Amino acid sequence: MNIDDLLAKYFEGETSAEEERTLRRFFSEGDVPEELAVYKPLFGYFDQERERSETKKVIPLRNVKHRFYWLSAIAACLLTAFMVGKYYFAAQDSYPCSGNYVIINGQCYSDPEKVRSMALVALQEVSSTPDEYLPAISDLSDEQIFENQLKELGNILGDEE
Amino acid sequence: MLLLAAFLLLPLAASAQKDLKIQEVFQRYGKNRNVTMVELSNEMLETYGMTHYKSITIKDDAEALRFVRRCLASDQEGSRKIKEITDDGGVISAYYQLPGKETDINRFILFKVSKKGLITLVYIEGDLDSDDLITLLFTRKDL
Repeated sequence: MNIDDLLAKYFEGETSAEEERTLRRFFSEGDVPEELAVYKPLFGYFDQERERSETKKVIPLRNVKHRFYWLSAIAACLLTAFMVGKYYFAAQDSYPCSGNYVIINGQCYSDPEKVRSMALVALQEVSSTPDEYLPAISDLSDEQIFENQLKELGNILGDEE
Repeated sequence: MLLLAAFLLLPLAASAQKDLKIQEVFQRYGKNRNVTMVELSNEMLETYGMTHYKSITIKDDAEALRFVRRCLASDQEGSRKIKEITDDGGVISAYYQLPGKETDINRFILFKVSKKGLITLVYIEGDLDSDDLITLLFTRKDL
């Protein structure tokens, strides 16, 4: 089949892949008759596009894969660091010191005597009755003092049964 | 990988035991200025039948007092009130007994706010009962 027939078939949309390759080869070889030169840019364009797309497919694909692996690795590292950091610092907040300790004004101490004495201070504080609920002894008669003591004892023991 | 998973889950396991609202008081105010927080465990407490002791004292902080009272109101539900004194502003002194998660283990919350605004909150856990606690509070000479 000559080039004119192939061209006619091409424009009818009936050419096979092999026939289109023949056409492209013909127009790319440079020895194109003058009357057919008008079609040269068309097949030259297709050739250029094909080459460009092949270049795009092969070379960048490797780069894209590499980039993907690197980004995945970085993302995984960041995620791990974030998770570890989050739980580590959360744990630090919850347990600023370990074992027996006292924190005074944000400063942590683990000296046993200091810790023990501060615990004792807190216990003494909660074991005393609030000041405003302790009437002056001199204002009360013996009978009232006795009644108050009974009432206090009743409060403590009453709920235990 | 398993080691990493265990490391990540460790704080979660620890925090799962903290079901009381007052734990938020310790977490929120424990490291602030004008605050003293104490935590005791193990051998220092064995003599007293305690397994865990935690206390916090906060000087004159109205916002903290409101927060502590809210936490106490939540935690005292279902508890046994050994003692509770309130005035118009709310609870000023209280001892609550809460059942522990294990048999024979009790938990106590002790609270007081003084006239000068000193807030004291104590959490005790151990196999002691309320009698032991009263004895400890009113007869102990040392801890």
